[in-house]
Amino acid sequence: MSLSRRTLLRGAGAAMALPFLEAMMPRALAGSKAPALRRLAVLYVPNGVHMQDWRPSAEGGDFALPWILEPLEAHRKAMTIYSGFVAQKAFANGDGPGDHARAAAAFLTGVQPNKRHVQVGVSIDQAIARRIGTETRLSSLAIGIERGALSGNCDSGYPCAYSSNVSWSGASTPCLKEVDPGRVFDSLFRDPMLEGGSELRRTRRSILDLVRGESKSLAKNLSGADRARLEQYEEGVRAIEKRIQKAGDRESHAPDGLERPELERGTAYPERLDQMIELAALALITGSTPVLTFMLANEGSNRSYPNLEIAEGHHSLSHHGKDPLKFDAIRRINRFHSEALARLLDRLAESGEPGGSVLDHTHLLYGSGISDGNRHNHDDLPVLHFSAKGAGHHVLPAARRSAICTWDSPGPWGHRSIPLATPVRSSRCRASRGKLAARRYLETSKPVRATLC
Amino acid sequence: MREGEKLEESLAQLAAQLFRRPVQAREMKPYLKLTRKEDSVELRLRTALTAMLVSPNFLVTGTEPEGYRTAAAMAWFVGRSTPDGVLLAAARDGELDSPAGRARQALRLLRGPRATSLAEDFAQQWLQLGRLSEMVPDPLRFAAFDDGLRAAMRAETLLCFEAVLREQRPVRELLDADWTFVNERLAKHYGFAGVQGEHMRRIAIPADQRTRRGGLLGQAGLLCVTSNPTRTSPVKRGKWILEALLDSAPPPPPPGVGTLEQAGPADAQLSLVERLALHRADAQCAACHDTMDALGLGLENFDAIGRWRDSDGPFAIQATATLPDGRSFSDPAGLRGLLAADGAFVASLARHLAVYALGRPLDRADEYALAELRRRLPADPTLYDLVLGVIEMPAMRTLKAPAQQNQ
Repeated sequence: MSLSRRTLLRGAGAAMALPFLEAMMPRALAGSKAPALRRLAVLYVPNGVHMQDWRPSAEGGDFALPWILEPLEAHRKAMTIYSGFVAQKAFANGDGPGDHARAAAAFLTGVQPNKRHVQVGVSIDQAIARRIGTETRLSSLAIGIERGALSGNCDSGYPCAYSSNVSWSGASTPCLKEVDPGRVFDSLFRDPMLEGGSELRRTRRSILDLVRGESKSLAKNLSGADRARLEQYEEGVRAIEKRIQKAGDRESHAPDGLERPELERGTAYPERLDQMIELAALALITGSTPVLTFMLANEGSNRSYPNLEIAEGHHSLSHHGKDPLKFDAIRRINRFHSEALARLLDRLAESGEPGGSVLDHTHLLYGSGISDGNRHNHDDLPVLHFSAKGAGHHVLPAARRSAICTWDSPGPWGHRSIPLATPVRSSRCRASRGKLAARRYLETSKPVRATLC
Repeated sequence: MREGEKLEESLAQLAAQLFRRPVQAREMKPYLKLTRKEDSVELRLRTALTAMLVSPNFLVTGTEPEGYRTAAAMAWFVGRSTPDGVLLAAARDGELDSPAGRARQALRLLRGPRATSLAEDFAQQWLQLGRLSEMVPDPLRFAAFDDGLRAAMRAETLLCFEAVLREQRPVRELLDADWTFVNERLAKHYGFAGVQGEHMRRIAIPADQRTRRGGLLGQAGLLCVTSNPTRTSPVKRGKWILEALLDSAPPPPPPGVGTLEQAGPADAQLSLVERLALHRADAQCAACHDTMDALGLGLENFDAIGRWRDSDGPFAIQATATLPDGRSFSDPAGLRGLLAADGAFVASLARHLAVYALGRPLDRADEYALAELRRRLPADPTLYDLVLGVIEMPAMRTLKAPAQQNQ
């Protein structure tokens, strides 16, 4: 059997061969004439990159891949390298320091995070998930490797929730990323919410009815901020109800031959990264979720990379002060991450489904909310886009300082309706007012120029 | 059926504790209806408990009637749990409406087993010890560091805090003590002789080590979280002292300030002390770094994993410094004494406890209450005094979410 027909899942060090991919396809899609499932994956790396070895030397298609991007040579045809994007809301805008927290928070939301309370906006991947995630087992999945915290001060007074999440389902509700590979596996194949047979599921539904009733009566005596908190709770309850409903009477089970990976204590970062890359590939290949966000490390991560013989922390190094030794360490870390990305792309490209490979049906974004780690600037962000319509080009957006995320994120004042019916302007877009490109994005598979959202 | 009645009683009791208030019979009806289908008592209990634990009445705080809200706040602050039956009864009888009643119940909670959460949760947050699990000291330079040592370091700090709490020692002894908790591993790390065995036990610090160890500033765990993977960071240590111990967190660096520009290969010849002096040459940086660096340099004798050293490579270490206000010290013991005598330490601890108890930043009304609290403290207070003081803050009786700021 040739390598292209196999994918490998490494759990606890042992490689497991997976069966043919047809067996893993979501039942709704297997053998049907329906269009293949479109997927969105966003991979985030912290602390910016060494732009001198990232930015191609020329616009257009005629350049050698810069050093950090060399591992992606095999996928160059699908790749578009963007330069010049700005995350406007990641700048201080009067709020003082905290660029790491803001960089991650604003990347997919386009909203400036609040320093005193956890409050930003719904991220675009979640809006997309709500639209296209109705048929799949999970509407979205957020994974990562560094758990991070939610409360506490992680960057100059900003709550830790900002630097450890890029995906937000509500203004105050991050999509908590799962860092335990066993649990990621569970959410793909073994939803504990669905286990135990129909009796138990009925009981669960009754419990949810009960708590919904209680919430209603409780809400009568509350006002203002308390009510807002209760609404967050109610949203969580609704999400679980939907999950149970969607599963119907399906029993959850993992495809034959797949073993649940266990996270051994003390597993080093490279192994954990490998594990997560495999799980990310699995999530997308099996169509368990159409929307995936993956933080390779939390924003501001100060982990060292002993496998690269780098003993200093990444964040400390990114404050390079123009030291050539630090430059070298940073770019080696960046390249190490690119190699992981290349492995994920390889998996997706190898996996066939009706209509092409999984990669053909995926939009993958890879980037950071910070450009140069020393300056903490948020313009000229490092952004890669992989899709079937990619052309291997280096693109500068039409307008100088085009915003990377320009959609009307439902902010802290409640949900506004998402303007899906409004056509998208594909030329330049203004930083403060943009239209949601989700629908067009999904229907045409065209990367909309200067509107990556 | 007697079994059924007993179950109803148990559930009612459980509900009252979980919901932190008296529960009416009609509220229990849906739970009983839910569990009627189950076969065994155990299953019925499990289903009911599951439902209660996901109920908004359990998860959303601040919705209890007054009086019970105080009970909830106290139980959460001191025990990180829900009020027990005695506390609920005290709320019902109005005991928690008076300062004396609150103090009586608070003392009961402090003496109870759950008060250990003040060490495991509060102290860990206050001293930023949580980061210890993420620290990765360079294995080449610090081969002595491993998970066993890490665990011992963490245990030392938390056990010392708990001892000061439970024995009602003055909080000054957190900073300046002649005892600590070690096991064999940690004792070897510190250079204490004669300690054997893996369990942590309390020892008197040997006389010749008294100037080095004893109190937070000599504890390896804290020295480790305030360092970088490859070297110490006097700036981080100074910042930590200011934030945690002196209630004067330095403001963030002014915008546009980067790190020190490398002057060239000559810099490699400078010691860390001399390189840091460059900070202070620039007036913009000196404003904060004069204090921060001086404090951090006072701990330079402790390397990045808390071992004592007399030199850093070729450079001898002199832990001498003068603070901008003129006070000076010449070794860690001097710095320790200086901080222990400073009223700011008690004030800092009070603020951190208040934030922990309320679970949110302090607003203007809270600041006023905090000032009152500090004024009322006895000289040389214990943790009991501080906890009782925090419980008297008016916000502990209302437990409302802070007003959302307009954007």
